[in-house]
Amino acid sequence: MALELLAGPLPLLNRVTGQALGSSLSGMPIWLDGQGLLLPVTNEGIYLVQLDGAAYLVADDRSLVYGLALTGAGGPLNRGHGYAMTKTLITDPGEWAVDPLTLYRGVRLNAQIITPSHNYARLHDRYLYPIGSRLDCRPLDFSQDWQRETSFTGLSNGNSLSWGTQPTHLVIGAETGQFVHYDWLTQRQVGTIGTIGMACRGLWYAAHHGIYLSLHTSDGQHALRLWAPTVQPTQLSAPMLLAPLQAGHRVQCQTRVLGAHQEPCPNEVVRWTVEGPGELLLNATTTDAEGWARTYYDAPLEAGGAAITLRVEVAC
Amino acid sequence: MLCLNFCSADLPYRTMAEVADTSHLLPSALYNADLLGEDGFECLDRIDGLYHSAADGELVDSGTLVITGWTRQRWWPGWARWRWTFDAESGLFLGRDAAPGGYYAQDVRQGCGGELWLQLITGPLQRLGPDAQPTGETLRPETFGVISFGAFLIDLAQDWLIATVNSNRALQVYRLSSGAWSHTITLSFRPVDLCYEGGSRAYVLTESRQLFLLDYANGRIYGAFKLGPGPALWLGSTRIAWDPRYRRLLLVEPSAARGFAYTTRIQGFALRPVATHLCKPLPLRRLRAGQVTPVLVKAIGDRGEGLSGTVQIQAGSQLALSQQTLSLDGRGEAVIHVTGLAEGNETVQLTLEIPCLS
Repeated sequence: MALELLAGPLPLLNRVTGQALGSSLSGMPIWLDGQGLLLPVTNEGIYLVQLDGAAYLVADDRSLVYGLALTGAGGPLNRGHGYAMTKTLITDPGEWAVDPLTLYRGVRLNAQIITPSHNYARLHDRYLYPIGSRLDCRPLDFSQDWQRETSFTGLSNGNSLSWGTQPTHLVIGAETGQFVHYDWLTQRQVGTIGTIGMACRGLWYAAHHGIYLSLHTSDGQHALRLWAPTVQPTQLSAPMLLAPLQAGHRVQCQTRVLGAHQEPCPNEVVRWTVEGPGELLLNATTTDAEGWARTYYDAPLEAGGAAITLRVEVAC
Repeated sequence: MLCLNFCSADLPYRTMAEVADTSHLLPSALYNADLLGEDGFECLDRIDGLYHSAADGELVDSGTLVITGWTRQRWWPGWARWRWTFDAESGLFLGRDAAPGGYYAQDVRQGCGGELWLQLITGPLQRLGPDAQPTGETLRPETFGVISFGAFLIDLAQDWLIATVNSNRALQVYRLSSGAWSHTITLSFRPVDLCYEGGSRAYVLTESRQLFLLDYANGRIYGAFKLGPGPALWLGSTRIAWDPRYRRLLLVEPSAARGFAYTTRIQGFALRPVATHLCKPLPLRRLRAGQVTPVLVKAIGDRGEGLSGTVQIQAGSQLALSQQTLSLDGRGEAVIHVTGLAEGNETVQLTLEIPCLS
């Protein structure tokens, strides 16, 4: 499932100074729904980055390494969107609940370091932490070491976490550009592994808007890309008739729109044209859930004669 | 960026007529030789206090705003401490006189009850009486287990002392009567000044020009703003005060301009952040001719915070808009639905209307 690019690359620039941000990160960024991407940059501090790449410094603790976390306040089905921060150095190490905009440290959730420089999730009963192709878990009281909770076949280099659409869903992003939704209550993968089709530094799901965003660093410059949750069409099959062609008869014809990995592309508009005699009932139709678009061809009353050519195209 | 709604007159230098009592002293190169040859004989050195004076709550006058600070001058002793007074409503300069305290006076700060505290360079805090003379009530840093205070705020009624005691990004909160440490309030930038607002709330200015409104009794931070563009601040460079009569935040920041152009003044801000950036309109679904596409519009302030407002939208003839005026929500966001009428490229133009007094 390769997603379709909506916008980008959008370079990350300090909106106040006009300067590009440093390329070295002092922690894994995390997406704050409705607010922006919290991005710790080595020797600069923490920026809040808007979807168009405008970055604002919201903290200037420069020598720290941060772990940024999702915290599921409340029960499993009424969790709120909370955030936490692990700090490693200087004063007050440990895990703190933070206000995302002021980065005010509220409750000290844990005196110990959780996972510096990584995203993790603090759920009502355990920590979750993406690493490689798996999710590791650990009790909140640290009574056990990290252990594997699940593995995702086909996923590698997982490093980012974000909230999913459902209250019990997390989205794991990977440096390979892959992502997978995970139900942490049932401990099962949801759906198939998707991809944006290119490597990235982190990949998050913005549940409020239903899009994905990815962070890329090239030549020392950070940039964001936004991705629609829908599949990028890459293949359009040749149109075919579903019944033998007969003079004066109406026959159904269909074509299928697929993505790069043979996954169907629903809701794509397919334009039909005919060269030669006869007419199409509808000149534009929409693909169904399986990627099929269908229309009808009305054959001429007179059999034989000129060749008939059906053409299809999809706008993307 | 906060909404500027007050600006006082510039802080003025003395004229020769006002220094008649010292004119018998020849300006000497021994004192502040850099002032020789300039069109003047003194210059502002440092601001060390900003407070309001509401004439004991009387509403018959408009109240005054006071700056205290130091000037350098070309005759002995080479410095002077002044108290400059401005009208709180018109901003007009009302006069100057000697600031309380002598050479060892470092800062004047206003407590939560409106009383003034003089900070000595040797550490103690002296409460000043109505005659601007020490009352004899003194607080010593060692009572609170520290060597010295930086910026501080004293709440006599609720028994709190809030202070910076080192260069950490934190405020320390103590019990005033016992000196016992109560709690620490961490901030994301180093605080450089703080002032009382009401209840147990205070504004804290940080070196990044970001302001935090917090409750010092329980440590809760209510919000953050940014003053606006300008150089980074440091402890002692800039002062803030809350004007309770006009409910505005006051700021005095020494002008960076050199020489004798006096451009230091008191600025007042309404606590209303002003949007400074309109994000590029971003499609939230794939763009297809003939289909409706939601497009995200967002306005943000210079801290990166979303700000509500009204956005006007215009688009080319190949795009049909669901509406041309959008109200942004509390996150500063709104979604407009755009229909592409035909294939091709079109430009969407956004205009943000910012309600502001200035």
